[in-house]
Amino acid sequence: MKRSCRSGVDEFTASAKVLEQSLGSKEYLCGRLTVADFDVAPYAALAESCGLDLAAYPKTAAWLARMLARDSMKATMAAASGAALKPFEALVEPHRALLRLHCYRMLGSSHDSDDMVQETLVRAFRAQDTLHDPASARAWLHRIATNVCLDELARRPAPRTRCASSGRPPTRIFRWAPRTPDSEWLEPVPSSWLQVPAPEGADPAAQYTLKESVALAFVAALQVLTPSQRAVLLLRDVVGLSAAETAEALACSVPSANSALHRARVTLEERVGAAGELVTGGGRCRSRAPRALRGAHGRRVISMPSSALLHEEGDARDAAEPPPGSRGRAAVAHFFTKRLLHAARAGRFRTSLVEANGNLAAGSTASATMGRDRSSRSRRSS
Amino acid sequence: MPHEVGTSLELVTIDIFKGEAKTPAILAKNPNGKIPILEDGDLVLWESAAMLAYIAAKAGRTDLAPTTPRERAEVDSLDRVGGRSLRPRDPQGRLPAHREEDRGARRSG
Repeated sequence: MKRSCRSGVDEFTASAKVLEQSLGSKEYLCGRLTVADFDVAPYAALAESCGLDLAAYPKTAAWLARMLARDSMKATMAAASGAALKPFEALVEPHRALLRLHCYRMLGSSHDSDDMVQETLVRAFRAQDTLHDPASARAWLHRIATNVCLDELARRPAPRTRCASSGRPPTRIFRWAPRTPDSEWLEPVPSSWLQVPAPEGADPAAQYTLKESVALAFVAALQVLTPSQRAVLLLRDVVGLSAAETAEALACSVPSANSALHRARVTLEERVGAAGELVTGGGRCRSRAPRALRGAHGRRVISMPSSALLHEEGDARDAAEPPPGSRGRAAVAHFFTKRLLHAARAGRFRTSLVEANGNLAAGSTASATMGRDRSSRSRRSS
Repeated sequence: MPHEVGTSLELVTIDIFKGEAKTPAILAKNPNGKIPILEDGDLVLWESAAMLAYIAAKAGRTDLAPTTPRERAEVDSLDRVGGRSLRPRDPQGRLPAHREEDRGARRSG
């Protein structure tokens, strides 16, 4: 799952390698205990408390344990954890859930967004003396998170080739790129991710509501923007930063940020309509879908395609980036009736009602019986 | 280190989230506007490695802060290693390598 390495974790790893090699068979960094041990140990201990694992560096781990066992270090760390980490944790904790959603919008991946948040917090911890006003912590953290995501996107071997045609929506002559690893697919997020502290969640300058900003159609449309257009649009229209703040965060001029914002807005409007028109369906969708799904376990499955789960234009836009062959209402209906429900009737799949990205969704899971079938098959074949 | 050599220090808390590291009083002591700062009489030190060496040396602990050129160089070369990964860097958390690529992408996009 870890496709790429990231800077803060990278540097920690580089330092750990140097420490491991420097220690060799020595008990302390310079052989005997010196000031070098006292200078390095607190940082190594902080890295551990940030969740960076020392297990791969046994000599370093043993040395750190030796250092932390000293009464003098215990006294120092007790003072430090109160003085350094606690205020930082208190500062960032209210924003953690929002940062995760921000990273999700940037990358279209729920799996990667937790990694991005960790990297954001490591970078924020290192840059904490650049935050001059705690009231601007939200903007400050989002700026750092945006750059973490841009770095991650720049490191990836190729952009999302499927979404390369920025601007116009796909036409009939549009061809999907060849099947790619699952990382290329837009992943939904559980709606529990949307439970964020309300006061920080809303910004008067933001164009999109929280719910709109995680709608699958919106996040899918974001992925056709270039990374920098996506960053500008999210910072301006979702996080609610000013033009100047956005330009500063992305190290570009205000006109250049504004021009990227304009292009991004045009592209988004073409694909999902203007802000405020994004979340549709609502109560009608909610009341009809359970019936449709109850049907899924019996025989009345035909109501499925008519439910608001499918987009009005039959574009299956709510289905994010559907696999080739399942685009359009008919194709989605075919997928449900012929394939998924067939499997469900055979007891191999169970479809249940879930919430994803703040909307109703159907989740299909392989049943336990199917797992047993699979394992028995694999036993036979081996 | 003070605990190790039995030196007592008076701790002064600076709340960097309230901008206290950038006040004129702190900037007069450390033009970098960064903490920690160690004051001993009229001596003002910044950079933790320098402080640790000073505290150890002042306590007469040449075992901890060696004085021979070779030993001292060894200590100096190692005492920066681990701190790299958690020390402050760019205010926006940017990586320099990325920016050029990004500008390229913006031009073409």
